[in-house]
Amino acid sequence: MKKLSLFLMLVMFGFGMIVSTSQAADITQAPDLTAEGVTGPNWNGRFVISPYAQVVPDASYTFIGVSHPSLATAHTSIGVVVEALDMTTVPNTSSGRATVFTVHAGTTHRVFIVNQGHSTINLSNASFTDSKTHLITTTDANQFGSVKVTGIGTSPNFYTSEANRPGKYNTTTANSLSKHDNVSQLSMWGVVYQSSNGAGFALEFIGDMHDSNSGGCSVTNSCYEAAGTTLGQGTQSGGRGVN
Amino acid sequence: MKNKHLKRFFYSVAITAFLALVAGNAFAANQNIKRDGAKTTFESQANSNDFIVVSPYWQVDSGSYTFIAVTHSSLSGMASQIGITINAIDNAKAAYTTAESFTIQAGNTQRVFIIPTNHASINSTSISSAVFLAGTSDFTHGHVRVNPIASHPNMKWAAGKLNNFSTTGAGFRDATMLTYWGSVIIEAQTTGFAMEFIGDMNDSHSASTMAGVGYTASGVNLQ
Repeated sequence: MKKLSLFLMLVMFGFGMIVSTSQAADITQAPDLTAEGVTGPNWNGRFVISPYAQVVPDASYTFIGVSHPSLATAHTSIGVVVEALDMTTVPNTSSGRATVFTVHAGTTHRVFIVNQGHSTINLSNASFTDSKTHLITTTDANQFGSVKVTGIGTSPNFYTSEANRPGKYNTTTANSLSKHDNVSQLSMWGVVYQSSNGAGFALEFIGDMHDSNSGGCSVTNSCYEAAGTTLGQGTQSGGRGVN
Repeated sequence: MKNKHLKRFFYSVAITAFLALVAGNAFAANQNIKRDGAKTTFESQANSNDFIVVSPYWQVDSGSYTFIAVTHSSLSGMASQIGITINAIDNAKAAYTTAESFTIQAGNTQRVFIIPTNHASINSTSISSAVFLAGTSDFTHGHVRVNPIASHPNMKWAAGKLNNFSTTGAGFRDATMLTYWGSVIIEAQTTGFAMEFIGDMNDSHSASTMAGVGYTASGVNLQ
């Protein structure tokens, strides 16, 4: 009887503890998108977004500068796709609304989202035909939308070594640096430019070097690399209201 | 002796019940209705911090208006449609006009103009696809507040079902997962001053390792 009583006491104490744990788990349900290590186009860590882009024929256009600051943890070349969303492009296809290029360490690429009949920003002007300048052309009508930049690398959160890409990363201790093929290692800047007065409205980039959010540490103490616009349960993330 | 054990047994039941009740109360205290939503239904409230986006300043007068773009960036985890209610509150704590509600589809951008009444060029006739908040023609200023339309933005939604954790198509109908961008436009020079949005995809921040109540995020970009 004594043992039974002790046993029941322990069982009920355990039950009491379980009650508190399970209730705590239900308080909020933050986005839980993927398990660590999952890759693919739907993984938000591959994206940088900008909320607004605009074209008014010959009156305003959108300019974006994409730079590779050549930091120690960045791959020497990072491929991106810059895409104008919700705008009517020429041609109005997935390839027409996007431009694909690789940014090498220390270089800056320019992207113009501009109407196809723009008097100066066009492919007949030698100032806009070099390999680091890219035009996404829209129809000659007022356009507005947003910008999405997708990293070509499919595993942005996992460092690569000589085994994954050619070349050692450190001359003294071979292959000792962890480098990431991650769009959040690039820095981006842009403006909706008004031709009439030479002024503009600065763009905002979410998920680039400035605004990327580190994955934080999960309850299992696994810590993640910076991953663009990551939304993950148990991690630091975008999209959780006013602090 | 038997009675003694029986007494101990009942004591243990009483203590366990007490523990469970205490745990329940602690949970209730953690569930801050003004931050997370209702205790039992998890329904977000009009002032639940976790689901609100605010912008500190808007302005209209005879030579200026306010422009806001709201974009659904179609990221993984977002419901394909997210509805919001946008309210321009003036400095007298009153609504500038009736709040506007709309739904944004994945990949789309919705423009919102806060304008003086009877604006000659920025109005619903000239820009039919935009949303307008027009109150008076006088100089007015205040702040913007955005609330979700969904009653449970904190729970995944798919195929008309709440708490659906389907791996395809499930997402949160959460206003804070949208991106916002805007300016106070000075019409004479077509220039402006960038707005700031707190709580949107760019600025919001979960307190990742702060499990207990009484902690809050603070300081510059805790990363």
